[in-house]
This record gives sequence, C-alpha cells and structure tokens, in this order.
Amino acid sequence: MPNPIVTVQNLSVEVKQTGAKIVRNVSFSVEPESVTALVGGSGSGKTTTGMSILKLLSPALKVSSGQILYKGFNLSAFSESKMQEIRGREIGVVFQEPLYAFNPVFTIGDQIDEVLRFHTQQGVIQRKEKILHLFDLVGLPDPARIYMSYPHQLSGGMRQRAMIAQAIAADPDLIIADEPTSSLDVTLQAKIIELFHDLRSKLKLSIVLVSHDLGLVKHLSDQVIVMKQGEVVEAGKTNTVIEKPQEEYTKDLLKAVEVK
Amino acid sequence: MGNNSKSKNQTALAFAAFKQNKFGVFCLSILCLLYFTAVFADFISPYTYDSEVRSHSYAPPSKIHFKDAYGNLTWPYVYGISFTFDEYHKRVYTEVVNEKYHFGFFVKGDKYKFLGIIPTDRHLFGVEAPGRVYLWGADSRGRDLFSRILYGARVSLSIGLIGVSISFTLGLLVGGISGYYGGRVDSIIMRGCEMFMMIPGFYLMLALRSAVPDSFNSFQIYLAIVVILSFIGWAGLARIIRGMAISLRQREYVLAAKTLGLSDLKIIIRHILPHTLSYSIVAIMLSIPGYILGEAALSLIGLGIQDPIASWGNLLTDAMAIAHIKLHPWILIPGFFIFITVICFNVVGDVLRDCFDPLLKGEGEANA
Repeated sequence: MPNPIVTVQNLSVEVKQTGAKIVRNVSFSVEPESVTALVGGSGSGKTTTGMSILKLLSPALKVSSGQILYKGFNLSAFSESKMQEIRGREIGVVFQEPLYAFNPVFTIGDQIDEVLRFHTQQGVIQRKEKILHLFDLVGLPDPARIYMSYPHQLSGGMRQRAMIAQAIAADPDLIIADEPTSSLDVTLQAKIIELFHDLRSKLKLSIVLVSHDLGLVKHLSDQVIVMKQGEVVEAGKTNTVIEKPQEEYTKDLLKAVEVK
Repeated sequence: MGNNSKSKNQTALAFAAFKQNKFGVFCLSILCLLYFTAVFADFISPYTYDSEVRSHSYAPPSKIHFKDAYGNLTWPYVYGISFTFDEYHKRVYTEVVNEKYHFGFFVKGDKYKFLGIIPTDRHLFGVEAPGRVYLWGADSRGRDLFSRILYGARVSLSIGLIGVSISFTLGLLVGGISGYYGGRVDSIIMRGCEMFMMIPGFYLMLALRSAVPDSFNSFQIYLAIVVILSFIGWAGLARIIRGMAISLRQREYVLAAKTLGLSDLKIIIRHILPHTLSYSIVAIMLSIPGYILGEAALSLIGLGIQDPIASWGNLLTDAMAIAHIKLHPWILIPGFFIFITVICFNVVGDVLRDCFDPLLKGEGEANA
C-alpha cells in the first residue's frame, strides 16, 4: 500500500468568535489515484473540510484541533509562501460555479496562463501550446477560440471544462472538486463526471469530490465519506456504503436521489 | 451566453458611448490639441521661453498688416516698434513705419533642441530678424507671451498627468491592500489616510513646499512640486478603493486565484484593482484639474515654478496687481488657458462617468 496523499486526522474547525464547531473530529485519507467523495447536505462541513486541505479557510474560521498531513508532511508547519507553491502546483481546485470562479475581465486563456506563469518556467509559446493541449484534453472544441474568449461568452458546460483545464494546468497530484456539477444540467453532470474519470486515469490524479449527490458520485468514487453537521456519520468503500447503508442519514440521501 | 460576437469589455463599451457625446469629444480634442502644442512648444513658438528684449517690456500684441502702404494685399508683415513715455511715465508703443518685417514659415530664430534631442534653430513661424512679433503681447521683461504660454503648457499640463499617476498608483495600492487584508491592517492604514485628509490641502502643500531646499534647480523644484501635489490627493482615493476592495475580495474568483497559488499582491493587482477601473478612470479625469490649479496656486504666490521657467501659474504672477491688468490686459491670457483646460477635463470626466454608469444608460444623451 503506497502512502496516502492526504491524511486528515481528527480535524475540527470552529468559528473564531463563538467557538461553534463547523467540522468535528473528521478523519480520512486519500490514496494516490483514488477518488474520495465527501457527501452531505448543506452546512455539513464538507466544503470547509476540502478547503482546509489548502489552508484556505475563511478568516472567521480556524482549525481548533487535529492535523492534515500532505504526503506525510504536516500542513500546519508550512509557511504561507510554501502553501502558495503547493496551491495550483500540487493541489488544484474546481469550483461549483465557474462563472464566478473566473475573473470576468480577463480571457480564459489569460487566466489559465496565469497559473503556468506562476508555477512553471515555460516560455510564452510553450505555455500557449500547453493550454491549447489542455483544452483538447478536457474536450473543449475549437481551443484557439476558447483561449481568446471571456468567461461570459462560454456556455456553462464549457466553462466548467475550462475550469477543470485550469485546475490541472500545472500537473497537480490532487484535485479538490467542490460540487463541480451542481450548476449544470443532468446530462452535462454525467459528462463532467466522465471527464473526471478519464483524467484520473490519464493524469494519475487523486480527486477529492465534494458533493451532495450520492447517486452521482457512486460511479466515480472509490470511497465515500458521508458528513452531517460537521461529523462523519458513515465512511467506507463506495459499494459498501451504497449497497448496505448503515445510517438513516445515508439512506435518506440515497432516497433523495431515487425520487429525482 | 456562448455567442460569437466580438468581445467587448466594459471599458470598450464605455468609450464607444463616449464617442456619441459631441461635447465630450469636442472637449477631448481641445485637450489633445493643448497637449500636442505643449509637446512641440519649442518648435511652434517663435521664441524660446527666456528670449527677452528689455526695451519691449509690456509691448502690446503686434498688429499684423495684410495691406501695404498703398492698400494692396501683400504677404503679412509687422512693423518694428519703439516707445515714448506719456505724462504718467507709462510706455506708449508706436509702430516704426519704415521697419517692415515679413512673416515666414520655418524661420531661423533662437537655438533649441527639438524634442530635447535634435539641435536646431528653425521655428514654425516668425518674422525676419531683428523684428519681433508678439501675438499676445509681451511680459514685463519683453518676452513673447505666446511662446511662454506654450512653454508653460509643458509644465502645467504635465504636472497634472504625472501628479495623478503618482497619487493614483499610491491610492490604488494602499486602498487595495487595506481593503483586501481588512482587520487591523485596514484600521492602521485608514487612520493614516485620515491623518492626511485632516490637514487642509493648501496648507499641507505650503508646509511641504517649505521643506524643499533652496538649492534645488528648476527641474528639481518641478519634481518636488509634482510629489507635493500628489501627496494631497491619494488619501481620499485610497478610502474609496478600499471600500471597493472589501466587496471585491468576497468574490469567488479571488478565492479561486488563491487556490491557484497566487500571491496576495498579485491577487490585488490582477483580480481586485482592474474592477475599480471604471471608477478610477473617471476619478483620474476629474482630479487632474486639481493638480493644474494646485500648481497654478503655488506658482502664483511665487512658491512654485521659478522664473524664467514658465508655467501658467507663474505667468499670472504679473496679473496680481490690478493696475497691470488695466494697462496690459493680455497678461490674463494664461488664466484663460487654465480655465479652458480645467473645464475640458471636467466635461470629459463627467461624460465618461455617464458612460461608465450603467444606471444612467439611456437617460443622458451620453448613450443616445
């Protein structure tokens, strides 16, 4: 068994002012080239858990106990500039709504170029080639046009693909996908999940998939961690959890999908 | 969504709307003309700023003659001038009819360096030596006011631009940093800004000016004045930019930029400040007149640009005595230039604001 990429140990996050716990005693580990799904309803702390891997919690929150090991190193010991090297370069993030996650005043190509400029020593031409190749990889048609487009000029699905291209631009080992399909319609959701599946084997990626939709993640994930109100209620191999859910909450989540 | 239309961002749209406003375009072209003449001042003006003929003190604007003594049309010319004193010991200039000096283009005159590089002695127009033409009269030392206004435009117009670029760089950065970090950093920076805003601008200007050593040469004084002027405007701007940055830092693309590993300064410059551009452009346009007037005020009371270097402000120093204005009204002309420039900048700024403000779209003629 190779060493896990990320190990979260007894992580607790609280609101600085009130001391209210947002995340309580969460533990899990992400194996290389595996997909971990963090599933739960709104406010279950799944996004907060995902963001704490990048040490990008909102300023109102803080980690109150527990630790996160990244490739065996304790993240809390890393300086901010060390974290800036890791963000984007080793851990990429895909957001829920790419319309807001792209800056509206710059072109898509320019914004992906920004990542490469910061994390690599490649020249202008090399970077552009790489970006066009990335567009190809994530299944965007007419890469040259996408490169020159502003975010509002693309459709939702194309924007999400562009967002994924940005996340994988600097060849990270881990992708944190925060509800990557929630803003898309059902047919597109399946295609994006398929794309993740594809990229994972092509690029040897590990993925942390944050979602509220158990039905969607079951095709992609190796392990599922079900969260409710900041606590892990159930965790295990995806098949086990889906087929033999132990907890009421997990069953509810599964039912919600069936109704849909 | 997903259309193929030519991409136009907000700035491009606003400038397209600007073109629709005739008055705005008119004022902008006046400004362009003024800046053009300032750049080529040494070529366009018939004399250099310090070329003086003491016997022509306060010579009135030259009469340009188009007809010769027999009433026939000829190439324009001026007469030489001489003066006598009247009973109040005031100089009365009369034309010397037997000294005729014809106008010419590209005439030889004072030596200068064209654009500061190419040494030459050709001027766009002038009259044959030793005659002198005073389009807008002469000042107390017999220097051509028209030439001095053109040279003065260099100082007065550039001070606005350089001053504004210094204070805006400062204001944008300080405001951006303050708003982006928030919390204690924000409090400390904002209290600092308030310290600057607390002191009335003109007195702060005088106090800073008194700190400039006497040994400075005219160029150093010019730089010192630019820096002094830009020290006054930045704090107010920083406060507004800070307010915008506070709201902009909540945007998801700022978080996204963080997840890409960008440094804070890069995020401020790339992902926060560009969104304040529509406000900043208007604010820049509307604040340039302040710098021009500030320089004029300093120079007028003798603390700004020093003679013989000309600026619109110190050209007006002569006009401080009411008697001079009565006897030589042309010395007020630099004041009209200040007036026109300030009006034009204000109009252009106003029209730009209408163009940038989506709420006003369709109301004003700006977007008609």
